[in-house]
Amino acid sequence: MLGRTDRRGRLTLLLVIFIVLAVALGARLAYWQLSRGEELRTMALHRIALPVEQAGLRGDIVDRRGTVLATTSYRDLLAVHADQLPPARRATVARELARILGYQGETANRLEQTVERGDSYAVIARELTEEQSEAVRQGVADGKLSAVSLDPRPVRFYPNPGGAPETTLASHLLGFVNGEGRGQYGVEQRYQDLLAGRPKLVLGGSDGTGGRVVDEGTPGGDLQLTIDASLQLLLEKELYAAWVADKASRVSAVVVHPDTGDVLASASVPAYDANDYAAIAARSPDSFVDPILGEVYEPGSVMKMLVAAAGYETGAVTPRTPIVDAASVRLGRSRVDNADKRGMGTIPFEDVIAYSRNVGTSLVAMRLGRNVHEAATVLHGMWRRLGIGTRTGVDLTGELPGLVADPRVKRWTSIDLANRAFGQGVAVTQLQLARAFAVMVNGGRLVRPRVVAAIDGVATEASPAPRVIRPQLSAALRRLMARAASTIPRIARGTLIPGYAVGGKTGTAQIWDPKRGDWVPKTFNFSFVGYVGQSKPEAVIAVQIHRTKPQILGQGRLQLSITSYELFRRIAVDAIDVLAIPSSDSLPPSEARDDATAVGQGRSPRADAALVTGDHVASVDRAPPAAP
Amino acid sequence: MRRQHAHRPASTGRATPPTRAIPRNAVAVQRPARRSRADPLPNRAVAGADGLRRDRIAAWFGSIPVRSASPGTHGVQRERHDPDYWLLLPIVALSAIGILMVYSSSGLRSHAARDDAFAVVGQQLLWAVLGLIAMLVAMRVDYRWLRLLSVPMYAIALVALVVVLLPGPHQQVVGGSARWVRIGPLPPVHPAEFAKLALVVYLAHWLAKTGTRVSSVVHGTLPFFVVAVPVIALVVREPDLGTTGVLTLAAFTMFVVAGANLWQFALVLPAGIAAVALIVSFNPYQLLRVQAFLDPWKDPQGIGFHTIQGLLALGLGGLSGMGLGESLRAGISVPNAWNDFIFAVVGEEFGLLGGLTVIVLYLAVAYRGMRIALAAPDTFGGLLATGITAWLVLQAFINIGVVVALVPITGITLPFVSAGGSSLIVSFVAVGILLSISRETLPGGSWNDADPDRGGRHGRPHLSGAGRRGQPARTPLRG
Repeated sequence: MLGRTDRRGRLTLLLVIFIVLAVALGARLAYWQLSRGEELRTMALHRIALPVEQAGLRGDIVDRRGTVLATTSYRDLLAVHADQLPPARRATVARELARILGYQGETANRLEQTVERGDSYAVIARELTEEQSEAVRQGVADGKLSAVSLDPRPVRFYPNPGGAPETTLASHLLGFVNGEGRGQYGVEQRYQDLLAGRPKLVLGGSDGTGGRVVDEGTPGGDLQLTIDASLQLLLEKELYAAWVADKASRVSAVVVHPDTGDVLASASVPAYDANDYAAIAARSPDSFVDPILGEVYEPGSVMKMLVAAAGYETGAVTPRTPIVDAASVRLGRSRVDNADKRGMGTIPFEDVIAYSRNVGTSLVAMRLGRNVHEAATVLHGMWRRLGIGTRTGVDLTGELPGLVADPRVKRWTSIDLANRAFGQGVAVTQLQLARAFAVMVNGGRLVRPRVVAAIDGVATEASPAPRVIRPQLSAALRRLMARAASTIPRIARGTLIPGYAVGGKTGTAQIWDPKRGDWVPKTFNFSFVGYVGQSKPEAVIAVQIHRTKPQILGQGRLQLSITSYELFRRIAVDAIDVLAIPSSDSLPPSEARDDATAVGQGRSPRADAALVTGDHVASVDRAPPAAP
Repeated sequence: MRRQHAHRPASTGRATPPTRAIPRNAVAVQRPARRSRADPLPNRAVAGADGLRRDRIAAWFGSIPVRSASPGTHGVQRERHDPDYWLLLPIVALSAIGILMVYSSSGLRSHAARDDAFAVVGQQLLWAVLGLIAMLVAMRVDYRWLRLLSVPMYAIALVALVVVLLPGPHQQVVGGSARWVRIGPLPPVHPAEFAKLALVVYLAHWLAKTGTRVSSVVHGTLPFFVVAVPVIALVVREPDLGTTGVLTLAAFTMFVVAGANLWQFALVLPAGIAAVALIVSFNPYQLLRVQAFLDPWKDPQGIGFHTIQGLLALGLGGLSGMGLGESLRAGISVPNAWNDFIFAVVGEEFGLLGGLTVIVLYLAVAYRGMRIALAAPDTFGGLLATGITAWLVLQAFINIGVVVALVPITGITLPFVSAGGSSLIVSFVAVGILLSISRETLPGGSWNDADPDRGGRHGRPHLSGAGRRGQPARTPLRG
């Protein structure tokens, strides 16, 4: 009917819309109050509740033998309540405090000004030594001091000095604890919740809700590391010596047990003093990053071992396959040269690796597949299986995955493949390298590196180590490493240890300067990754001398005061001593294996000597040192 | 049996709205008993044992007709019956819940801050009493008077909304929004609350006058925008996005119910959505707001903060709640606990059951409001009832939607529950108007009184004289 404005239908629809909206609101309300209710309730109670009990002291960190690496104890905070002092007495108290604290000149004047101001509370000094605390107490007892208070505060200590001056032991690995009690870097950050524990939380309402326990809390837990403090100290000393001798920007090394992935020692020079983190944070905060896993670099020829692994596995080469090694090979518009710009003619493949021939390795890499892309896929597949380009999963913070181009994402050109075959154009962490070599020598199991062996006395479970290459291949690669370490006389002299099985591969890499778009002149990264053991490898050691200018003797002949392989041998000898790996000379071959399994049980004389005479490693008890 | 619906001559003492503003058929003339139906309203006073008492109550509410009215008297007559008490029930319940929750959520903080636990709830009680009185007054007044007032009300609302934006001693800026006007010693008022009422009344008046022409672009859609946009734009300027939403939705609802041609919006709506999406995506702050309402934990310390506080309170409530006055979050960390987020406190203290009860109470308001709109005796009443119901219910749902993180955060009160004088008084007056309409509802009412479009305005044939001769009158209630 014309003229009617009755809208019964639309009004009914409106009512239906209202009902739908109400149902939606009700459903959403039920979602929050029932489905997510428990979660929200816990969250809410945690926000309202007050900590009524401290979680106790932060847990200690000890090495595999119980040597304390990090501990917490109370140190007094000295405060003065100057408003309670008659003005005439303030100067006397200030002078006495200055005497006890050993303040002179400007600092003493400032202290006097603080006291003279007459504030009700002023902090004079934090972290008093025990002598200073005692002297203050004595002064109060004698009546020389009044209106002062000592407030014990928990303070983290790293009692062991490191191998380099003004450092603490394993500083990069451990990290430190900041003023708010939060771990920063390394183990301290990774295991923050466990080390710090949780305080007991209780609702502090003024009404009937008060006293309800929200969280029972847990005390801080203790950590036992896989690190051996003695080996760590020796390692740091060796690195420091090399750092000084080679004038490198950094020298770092990591020692990993190939079968378990346990990190036995890991250090870099320069390191830092974790007891003085605040000053370093202000000066150079970058120095806290652990270069072993937080820095990537182009490793150079050590990556040739992965070409060998891929070549052996695919059957592209055998150790005896003759390879024609020319001085250079042209690939597209680029050219690959040998380091000495010479060719060695036809040589077996194992010598291509042993003499570190760039051209020969590139040719083998090309043979991995029917074309460049297929070969690149095969090589990249081997990298991935050995953990190159992925985080190792070590229980530390700040690990980087490396920079590895995936041929499935962006195809490699032939020059890419050639360069990456000898470790240029690919960036990895040292820990990745150590792990990849561990897999190559341990029978082919992809172990996950770890630093924590036990939590509160309960051993942590080792993560499963899937087999990624066949044991026979692993054995062949070990033989190849042994040959690489013993073929060139210069390297053999620096690397081999009589009575022990040693193998490894050197690497010398140019450094790309992205700013200039060219290689940094006459500056190199020197690497060596290898193993040492008896009947089987007992330690894999990855060494890097970062950014150093060697003496250039001739084309491809670079001379360092301490070469990477010599540094490897020094660390290997230390590991033999500390881990008590028996020599084949001293034991009949049948016993060697038994003893080798007892790693860490005995101590060599040299390791004990370090503990006693070096006074660098603290005694096993947990008391902090009397003086900082 | 006593006559329930005696006809009352216009000459009785009651004020009768001017006929000029009233559509013809709003005034029932003697109606033939053609469509006699059962008594549509359950609340009519029935003579019986308690007849007298009910009469008195009903008389107080103004429903008792003048006994002496003589049937068959010609002239302007009006049928009145009891208002819809079933509407009153959820309103009173919500107000009671409101006073309880305002006290529960504000008592402790008021006590701590001002040493007076009743500082907030005392005001709320006072406003509730004033609101009830205002409601009863509005209920007894014939709602058709509003047609006469609609233009001045609309003008006053516009002026007030402009004044609130002008800097000066009267202006009170709260949380970055200039929403309050303070004049002399009077308590500060919130012009946007009044604007809602004014817009709804004016739109009802205008839409009733426009009749079926509302479906045309020139006579319907364009003038609709001319009426609605200034008010909405001024509220956006405050800025008060919550009230903007309520105004827009309520106005649009009225427009649609009045007979808007929805096909015109088939184009406008997607364009509008696209425009909003564009504005949001180009404005990082607004984008953040939208993201935060989808997942408040995206920005827990910033945009999502308020939402999370509300959700934590809901989580504490669970199914049955912590109990009255046991709220842990109210007054500590729930923002605007006795205002915009009072629903979170309801959810915490009474749990899911309490929250659902409140939602159901608003649904009851929606149902009764829609019934009144359907049975209204004229187009103006029907549209007015539609507008008021849509406004109150949508405002409530938007407020609850904010708390349960279904709607981006906007500051808007929960009608009858949240603390706040302006909101409470205006809401009560609106319900009073609704009740006033409910006193005249007809069985199966149909709004056929609007000015029928006679001739040539959009090409329809001229309907000779039908309008002037008067349409068939409807059945009077059983007399």
